[in-house]
Amino acid sequence: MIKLTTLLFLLAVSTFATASEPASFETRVDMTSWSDGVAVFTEGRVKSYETFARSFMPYIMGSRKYENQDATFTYFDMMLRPEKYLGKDIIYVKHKGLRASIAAEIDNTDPITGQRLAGFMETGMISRELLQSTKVLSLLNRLRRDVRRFASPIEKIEGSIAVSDPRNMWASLRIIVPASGSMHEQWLTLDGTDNEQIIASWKKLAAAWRSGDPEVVNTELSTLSVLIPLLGAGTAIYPDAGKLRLESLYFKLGNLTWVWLIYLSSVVLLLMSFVYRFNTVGRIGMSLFILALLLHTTAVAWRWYVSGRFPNTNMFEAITTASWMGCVFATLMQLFLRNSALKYIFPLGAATAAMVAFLAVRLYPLELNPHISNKMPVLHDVWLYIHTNFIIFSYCLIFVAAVAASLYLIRRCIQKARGTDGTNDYARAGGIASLVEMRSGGRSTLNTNMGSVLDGATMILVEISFILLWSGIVMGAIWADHSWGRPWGWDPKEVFALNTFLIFVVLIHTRMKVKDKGMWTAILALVGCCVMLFNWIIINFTISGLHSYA
Amino acid sequence: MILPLVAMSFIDLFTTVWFGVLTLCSLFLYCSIGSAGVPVSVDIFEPNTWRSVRETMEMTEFEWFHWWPFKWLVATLCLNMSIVTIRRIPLNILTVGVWTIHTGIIVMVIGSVVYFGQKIEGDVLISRNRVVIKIPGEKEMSMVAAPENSVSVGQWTFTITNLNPNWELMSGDDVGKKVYAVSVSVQGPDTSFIRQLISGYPQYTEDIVATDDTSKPMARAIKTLGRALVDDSIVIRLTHDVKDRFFVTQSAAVYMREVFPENGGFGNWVELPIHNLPRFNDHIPSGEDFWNAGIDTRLSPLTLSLGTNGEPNRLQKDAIVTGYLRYAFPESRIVSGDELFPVVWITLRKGDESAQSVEMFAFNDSLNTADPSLMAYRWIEDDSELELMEKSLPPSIICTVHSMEYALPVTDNEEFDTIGDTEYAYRVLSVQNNLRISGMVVSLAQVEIKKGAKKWERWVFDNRSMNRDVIEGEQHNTTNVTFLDDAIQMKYSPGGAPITIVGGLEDGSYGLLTGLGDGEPEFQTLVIGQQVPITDEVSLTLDRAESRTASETKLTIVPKSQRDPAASNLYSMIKLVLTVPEGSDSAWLPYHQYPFKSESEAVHRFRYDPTLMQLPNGNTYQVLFSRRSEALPAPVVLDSFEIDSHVGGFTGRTSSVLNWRSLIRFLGDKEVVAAVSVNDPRRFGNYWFFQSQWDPPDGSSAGLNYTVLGVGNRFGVLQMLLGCCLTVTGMLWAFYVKPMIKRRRQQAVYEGKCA
Repeated sequence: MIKLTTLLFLLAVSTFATASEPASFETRVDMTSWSDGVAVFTEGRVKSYETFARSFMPYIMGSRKYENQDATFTYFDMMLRPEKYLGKDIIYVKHKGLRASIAAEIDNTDPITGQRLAGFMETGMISRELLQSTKVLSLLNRLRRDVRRFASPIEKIEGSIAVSDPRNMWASLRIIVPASGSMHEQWLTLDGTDNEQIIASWKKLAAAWRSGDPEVVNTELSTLSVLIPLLGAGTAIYPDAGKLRLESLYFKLGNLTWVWLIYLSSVVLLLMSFVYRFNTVGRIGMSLFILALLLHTTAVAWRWYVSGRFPNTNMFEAITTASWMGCVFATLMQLFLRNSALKYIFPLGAATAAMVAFLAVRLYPLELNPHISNKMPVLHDVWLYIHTNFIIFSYCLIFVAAVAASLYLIRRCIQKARGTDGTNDYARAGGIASLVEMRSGGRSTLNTNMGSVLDGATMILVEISFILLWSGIVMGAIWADHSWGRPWGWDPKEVFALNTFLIFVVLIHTRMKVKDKGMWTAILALVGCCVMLFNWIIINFTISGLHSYA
Repeated sequence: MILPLVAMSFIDLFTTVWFGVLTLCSLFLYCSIGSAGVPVSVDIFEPNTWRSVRETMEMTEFEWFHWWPFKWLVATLCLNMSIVTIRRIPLNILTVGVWTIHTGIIVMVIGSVVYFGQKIEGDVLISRNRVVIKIPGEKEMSMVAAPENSVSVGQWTFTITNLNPNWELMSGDDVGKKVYAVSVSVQGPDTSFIRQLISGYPQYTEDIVATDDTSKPMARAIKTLGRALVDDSIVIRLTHDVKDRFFVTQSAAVYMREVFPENGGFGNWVELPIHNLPRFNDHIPSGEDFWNAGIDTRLSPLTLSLGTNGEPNRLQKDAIVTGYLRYAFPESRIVSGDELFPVVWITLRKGDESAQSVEMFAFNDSLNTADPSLMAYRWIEDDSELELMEKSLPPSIICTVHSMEYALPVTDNEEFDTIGDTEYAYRVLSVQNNLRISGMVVSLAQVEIKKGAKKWERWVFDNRSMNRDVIEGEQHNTTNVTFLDDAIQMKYSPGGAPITIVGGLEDGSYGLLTGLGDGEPEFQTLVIGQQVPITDEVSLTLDRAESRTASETKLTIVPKSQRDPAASNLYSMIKLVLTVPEGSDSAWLPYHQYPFKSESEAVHRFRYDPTLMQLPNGNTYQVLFSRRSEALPAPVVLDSFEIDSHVGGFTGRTSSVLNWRSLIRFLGDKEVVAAVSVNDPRRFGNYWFFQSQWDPPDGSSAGLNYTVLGVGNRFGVLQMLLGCCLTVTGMLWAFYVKPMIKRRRQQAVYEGKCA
């Protein structure tokens, strides 16, 4: 446990730590004014340079950093001093099988190459030159034929090499607003301006960058970050400076995903208070939970403001928003049930869900990409907000139900080990009905023991998610009917949403008939959660379908 | 006596909740297996782990969920729900929720039966315009406005050279408006021009003609000839592309038409549907049609006869489908033959690393897989030709001074070399071979010439007429070439490929002629399989050589692991056998997404490649494998195609698109105009039309020339919706209202007792 906690702590603080002392030029260059003040046009969006660089560099380096440099610095450096990166390990290869195949093709008799290849196997970072050697190119051409396994990773490698070309990076840096001021014209690179001050300042900047003069670089960056936005002055086309700063800050703060650590703390304390009935610990746990939820709410609202739309259009947003919904629900439940035996159980489950969600987006930034992009045309519909939110909210509640169910099963295992029978530990009235009993001031079965409390909480969550899921499926069908011309197409995602619902139908009917109601409810709630996760993970990432964008 | 007992046992079985739970579990398993497949290893994140049972059984998702086991399971569940509800759940205020849920599900199932029982789904591709051509004395012809489409009328050829979806009107009432413009190149027996047509504005039709002015080679006819049209008897106009049929998803059909070789004419296309054609697994009648038969495949012939869309016809009776391939392509390979057509296969290696293999043809350089400027294969009739070849291998400059010709070597000497005994000297600054200039491939040597104290640079081409002297401050001009000294003339000879394989030697051996350095060309004998060094790093191996060969085309079946899942059935093929009393002919037909009627009806990105089948009785047919068609409720045309974009405008990328919109018109009894966009379909008759695909711009086209609309009917949707709403209402009642009623009743009883 101590080892695990230490590991988690290290993971949490790893982003704040600096691995090594970088060279002086890198540390003395201050990109802040440019990163926060200059807007870049890319793929139908205008974003701050900070955000742009952070979303661009993963195409080359994945989630890694080159010598711990900021993405904002590395972008400029690769563009202005490309020779520095010759032969350096800057391309990220994600596919581990492909890494092994590439490493096997490279002659590693030289100890330095051998060491680099060992590093490549571990980090996935390799140089363009090694990837472009005859043997590796020949290997990639061979492997490319295995379309399902290797075509996409090899395409990504080629894409990484192409975008790391300084000419490509220059062409992507569209920072000059069109002279017409029209919203419907593409922005231009610095080649597209005839403003002599900007050109002169850029020339000085580029020369100073190449010669490693941080003072001049900083001066010119500041000058340019004033001059360039002035080109868009008086038009609605250039984003507000405050919004650009906020956007940069949102990404600088790591999308606030470090909140998982506060959720973890609250999980530990809430679990202790729930199991041992430590009220003071419970209050501290709740305070941490509320703090985490406030930060979580800030993150959701911040993203909403920056992106200009409710955050539920990609996997990152679906996961973080779903867990936020679960936490808000849990807070409300805690508020209503603060004096009952059910207190702390909903925040505990929701905090676990939010913690897992934030950890997932931190650990898998490439799959759960946090960058903001335009919605696909099909997603521009009011049903995106209704159908998707119903579904993701139900999914979160299913997860929270699985947390309660797991605790129930753990308790039963402990009881079994102690030779106690827990068959009668279940909520007699069911889920919502138990709440009705409690609210009416009657004697609720939920007050009898912890087993019935856990079973009652599971049932409350199952009953609510049951209706939400079914309503979400129906609303999805209505949307599909006017979007794709048919309400139901047996797409894998549709089928597994239905499958999740079927499991809960089985749960409700099984509960009616079995003697050990609590245990079967818990088992089936866990199975339902597994099917839901299968739908969200395997169907999305492995078995493609029409819904693969979310 | 027994029958009522059996019936009662049956009803009792259906009255149990456990039976319902079992049915639900069976449904869960059935749905999971049909949708995700079954895992064959524990690595569930690996796509190859999930084996599709459905595809093995040749079923689409639609078919799997309409197979009898699924229908039986759903029917059993409905029956179980009905019997349990009626026998076990008395209808009262507390149980009305359960009754409503179960009723809702049954209503939804009935709606689904209606919906899926009549479901037809497909798509229709509509181009924006057709180009209609009328020449006096000739039949009116037309073609779809698509890049490079071409049609011949009499001695005239009309080719679409440019399509601009955003042509801005420069004059008139609608000045500034962006419209669709089509440029048609007109090639006549003794004249040629480009006619520019603007959709919706026939009054702006005008011709563009070639001029003698090299600075402005093309100009408006109105400016040069004083009239808008070169020849107003040639009428070219734009009309709508009228579509009256759509093509059904997951269907198959053969389209056939008779060819009349005597007059080059054709009969009408006949559509012959194929029912029960496999979609996922290969069915091979014999291995002889394939290069790689036996790999990933096994013999499994089909015998599918063709249906008809109306009256039975002769073509249908003669045809049978005997094979299907999900993913294959025709590939030509060189095999031993009778005619002299020498081919060599060599491998180039750099050090110990593997290098590339190339195939080279002595009589056709264009087939070579090596760069022809670096490597060539030459066949000689006798060994004396080898000497000439050696001489002509190095590049040289042929120079003529005072009628005397000198062959000057191309060297990288920095000093000037005197030309013979003339007063001229030269040095070569650079050479550039195989340059593409104005559609021609030329080679250039930049030479500095010296005469006395005077020096100047001359560009010397392999085409002497392109030579010129570089004079400071003068623009290059093709019409007024000036030479500072025309007493010296030059021509550049780029020489042969520096690596030339020589075949046809008298002793039957092969040789390698290399001219890589400044020295004399070197000749080495090549032995098959033996590695020969070319430079310090590079070596060459002659792997195989054939002098008498033929090209043979067979099919290559792509192994399953190499197939792109997103390609669906785009690379599928069927084998069609046409049999007549005199004999038969067979052919593998590639899949066509749309069965265009002719080459000039096809659009960018979609194949039109009909197969010619010649029967022993002399009849010839064009055949094409595509999808079955259905009639639309009314003919439909595309008036316009619009794109709404994000900030920065439409960049050509999908990421910049906010919405696509097709402005269509139904030409029924009454014309109906409709705008179909994403999430906003339109209904006409029993069908709904929704935005499905578009024509994105690419390197060869500005795009936006057509739209693809999804077409489908949707009966029973309201019933399904009613069922869903009933179910939700029932759930709310059962989970939330019922406990409250129960609690109030208990409380009333409790309060009554207390009182």
